[in-house]
Amino acid sequence: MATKNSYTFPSRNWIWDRLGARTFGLILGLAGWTALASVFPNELMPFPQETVLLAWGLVESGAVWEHLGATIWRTVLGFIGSVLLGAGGGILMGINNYGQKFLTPYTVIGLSIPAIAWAAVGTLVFGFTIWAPVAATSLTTAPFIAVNIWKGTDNIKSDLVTMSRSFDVSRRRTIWRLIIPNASPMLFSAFRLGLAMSWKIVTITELFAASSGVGFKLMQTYQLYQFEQSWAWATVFIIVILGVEYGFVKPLERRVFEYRQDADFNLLG
Amino acid sequence: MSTEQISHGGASSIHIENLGKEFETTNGYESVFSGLNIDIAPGSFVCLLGKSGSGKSTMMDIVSGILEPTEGRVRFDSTDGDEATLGHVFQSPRLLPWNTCLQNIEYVHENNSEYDDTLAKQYLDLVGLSNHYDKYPTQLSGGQQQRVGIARALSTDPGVLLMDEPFSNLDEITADNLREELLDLWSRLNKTVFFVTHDMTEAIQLSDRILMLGEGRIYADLENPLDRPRKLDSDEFLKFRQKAIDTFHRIG
Repeated sequence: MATKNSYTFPSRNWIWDRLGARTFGLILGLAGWTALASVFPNELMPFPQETVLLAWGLVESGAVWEHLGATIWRTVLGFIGSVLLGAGGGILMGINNYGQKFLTPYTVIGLSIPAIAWAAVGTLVFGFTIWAPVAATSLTTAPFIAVNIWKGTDNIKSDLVTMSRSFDVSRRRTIWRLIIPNASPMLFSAFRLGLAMSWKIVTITELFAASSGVGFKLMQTYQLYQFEQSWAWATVFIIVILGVEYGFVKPLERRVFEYRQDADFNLLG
Repeated sequence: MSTEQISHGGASSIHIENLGKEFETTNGYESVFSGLNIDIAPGSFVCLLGKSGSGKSTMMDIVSGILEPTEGRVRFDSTDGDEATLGHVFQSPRLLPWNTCLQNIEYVHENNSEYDDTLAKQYLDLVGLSNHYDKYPTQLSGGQQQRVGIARALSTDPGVLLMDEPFSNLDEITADNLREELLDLWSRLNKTVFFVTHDMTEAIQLSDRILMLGEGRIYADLENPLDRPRKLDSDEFLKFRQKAIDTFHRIG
């Protein structure tokens, strides 16, 4: 079994030993923010503690739940849409030569279309409804998911497939016990990328194609010159994203890849 | 763990009849071998010896059903009248890295309604892995991984055990230990073993009979006259080894 933490650079540094890289990074980031806040006017860039207090005020007033809830709901729907489109296309490209040739041009085009373009098209088609950000998110993210899944299913270990055949293991069992787990690192990577992109694209779309959501509030407070409010909304959003990452995605990743004893998950943060 | 506790069926004979295989290349069809006829008695230990590229693994893949022959067929006769089953041990262990030792054995028992983990544990005990049931392959050494591969193949209670250079990726000390353990298992479990190797010493140490494959045919079929257990530095062993090497070099 491989020894973890075998890289020695961080462990020799007392800051890393005592505080941990994550805490140290956070403190450094807050210090940088404080330094910038002391340079810029306070109404343009408030100090971290002021922003946190404002964000807490949004929580207490209940405004956060309405707008954050709308953004999360759109993100979830957009993510589901992008996974359905991307996984379907990616699997087809991975297991079928015709499917790969048929879908490659669409994937290439999809990869190069910016989210803002889909957001504009989505607004034209669906108006100021929930479907504009959902459609924009699904269409922007799906090609990235498709490429990851395509590469994951394309990279099947042929020696394990022949082993399965020699022991008369059925095709169904081979898919569930061999092909899907074999592709799981790429699948996981695809879903993680999809979720991260969905957050961003929903927020961008909400800037001009919604009447609720964190993106809408960011744009509204910007237009009203309430920059400290913009910072507070951004802070709430960042806290939620970090909560999803460290409270859900990383524990799930550790669980799924428990067998990879040589992998050092500390390297992933 | 004693083998008496493990229920096992009888050994099967192997009949290779007029076997041939061609592969399509850029220059047309290329024959690997053709017109091969081999009969292997039940319970015997036969080694197929050949140089790299002679078609040993191709023949093993055909015998195991992974590859279709271009001509001829392979037939198995079971001594107990049941349908003959095959167990395959590969050059690399070919274990599912995301599954534990127990799960790797369970994976090949899809059609065995009577399977439970007790069976897998019995075979892991048999190959000396009693304390490794729930370990993943990455937590095992190369030799231990190959032991799991052997346990997996034996757990299907095969009439024929096919082994394709199973020890060639291991260090010599580990390989030697596994050869001794394999001979011990073979003597106790009553299996027909068809073993591919390019190592003459290994072939003589293990087998009753050595088939030499080259230039698309079996050009030598040597009965091994040495009594078991065999000492690798005995005069008889070295003398037979020299004779076998001389025969081997008659081709190529």
